[in-house]
Amino acid sequence: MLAARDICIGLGGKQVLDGVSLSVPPGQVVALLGPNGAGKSTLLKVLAADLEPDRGTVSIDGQPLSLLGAADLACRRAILSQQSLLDFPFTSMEVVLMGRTPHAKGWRDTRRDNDVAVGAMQATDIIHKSTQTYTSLSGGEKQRVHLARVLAQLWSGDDSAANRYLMLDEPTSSLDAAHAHQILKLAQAYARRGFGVLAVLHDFQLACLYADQVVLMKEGGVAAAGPTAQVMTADIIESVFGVRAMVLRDPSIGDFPIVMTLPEGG
Amino acid sequence: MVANDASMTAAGTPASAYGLSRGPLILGLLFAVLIVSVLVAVANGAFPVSGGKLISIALEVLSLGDRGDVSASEYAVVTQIRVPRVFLGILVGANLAIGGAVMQGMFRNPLADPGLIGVSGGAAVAAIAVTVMGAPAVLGVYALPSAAFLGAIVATSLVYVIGTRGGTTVVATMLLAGIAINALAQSVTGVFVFLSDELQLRSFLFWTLGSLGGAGWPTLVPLIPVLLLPLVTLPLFARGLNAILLGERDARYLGVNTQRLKLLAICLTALGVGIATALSGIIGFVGIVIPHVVRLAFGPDHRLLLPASVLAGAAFMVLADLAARLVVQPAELPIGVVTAAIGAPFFLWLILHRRSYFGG
Repeated sequence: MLAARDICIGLGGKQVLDGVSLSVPPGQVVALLGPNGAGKSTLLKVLAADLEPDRGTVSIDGQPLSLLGAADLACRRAILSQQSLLDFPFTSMEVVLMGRTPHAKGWRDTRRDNDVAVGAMQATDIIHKSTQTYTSLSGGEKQRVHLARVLAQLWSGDDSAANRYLMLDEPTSSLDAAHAHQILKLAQAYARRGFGVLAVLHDFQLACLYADQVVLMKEGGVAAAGPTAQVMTADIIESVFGVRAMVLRDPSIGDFPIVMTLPEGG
Repeated sequence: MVANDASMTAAGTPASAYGLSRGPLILGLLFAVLIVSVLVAVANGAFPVSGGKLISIALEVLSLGDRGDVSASEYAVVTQIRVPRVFLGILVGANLAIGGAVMQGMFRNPLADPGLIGVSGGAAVAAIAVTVMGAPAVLGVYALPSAAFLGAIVATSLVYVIGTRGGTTVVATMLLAGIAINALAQSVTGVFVFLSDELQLRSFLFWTLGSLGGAGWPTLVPLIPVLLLPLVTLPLFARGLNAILLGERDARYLGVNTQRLKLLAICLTALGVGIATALSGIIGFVGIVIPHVVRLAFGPDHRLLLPASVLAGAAFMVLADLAARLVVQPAELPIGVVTAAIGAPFFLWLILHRRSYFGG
């Protein structure tokens, strides 16, 4: 369980997170949604141990983050950032191999590192670009290279998926519809094998399709949290996002809420 | 643990296409190039010394034989002038090149070089200050190098301190601080230029073009360990520098202690480049071009880039100094003139032939 308890943090005189609690259980996809400025990115940084909260604790499987070493932590959780700054002509395979940094022993990548990188690139459907220069790829291809990198980071020595946590910061923002589905489907598949997955999403429908639980944030606090179908209702969406919404069910399509947002007063 | 167990162990992992499989071969070849450069540089100069005589000299130095038909003056020139000079060239070239490579990585900017963090600007101010105002007589020939080193360290520390707030160094702020400190250094240098007489000005001007001519065992020997330190330790940060190219946050997510990495990278670079500049003046171009050439040839992975830059920078400097000694005999060209004259056309050729690397 990746768990944050009562997180408070102020940045530049403003209370950005005010008593946020959230937990990501192994085996589940938790979607984090909220209007711009709700504090999602800040919460993600706190969960990733990149930002020290003023109050509250974050723990991984009962151990407070502050007690885990950096490399230890890097083997247990990985974060796919919204955008990467990489601008040097590595091959995509070399970028994926950087995910093995916390596992590195010695100067060279091991045979196993190579195998893990290839497996991760196959999983994200980018293996055909493995020898191409990363900087020459499209935005969506780059995103899939980085997803392969964070998957390679979590690949453990004992082939166990338990106690691994994957955080995705708007993973589908630069992807076309087909690849957006593919990435979230993959995240879901990893969750079924034991990963805890936390995904910051903007797309209601993708959250309804792939998340087991949804956490809605507003103004630095949790506005609603729970199983997807219970949270993604028209009333809650309207109150959190300030937009009219309609939520339908159609068993002939599948067992998930279908969310539409509507123009004001229409 | 996951889906592709079968494919993960699939044969035909294109390992040879990546990373470092060619590393030992490349480093071996570069080392051979360096050795050949050193031998050519020791054998040639105002008067050439044959290979046979070099062997005799080496045997005498190692107390394994006598120097046979080698004259006393040949022996003295080789052991007291050329060899220390070549040694200095190796250490200076290697430090400038690895310093450039590390700064380019840390700033995630292929245009960075050690000058950016104030090393050469600070050294120049101190050098001309000592030239114009003089220094305590006890320092003797050590006055200018020690002042230049001090100037380099002071300027770099200022840049670092300005770029660091609350224990976090922001490289973008450091970059701007570096520009400001360099401008300040230039203006102070200008004041001393204004105050200097013609002889002092000429001597300072030559210092800014660099020379390995001041090399001698007495000054060099105590500094060899200090100049070797960055060459040996900086390559240990290769994986961290690779990760930093992803962005510092992503590097931290990979478990890299980015703050410690930045501090050590800056300290070691300032040390190596600061002493190199103190001993040989300002030698431009090596710090920026050698890492580029190595990256173009062998890829951007710091695990190969850093040691390869050390060897390539050393060889380039030794050969550039040989050219500086030979071209206008019996006089000598400033080595900065040579490094730019050889390096710039070669770099242009590379740019034209490897456009894809530059995103063209």
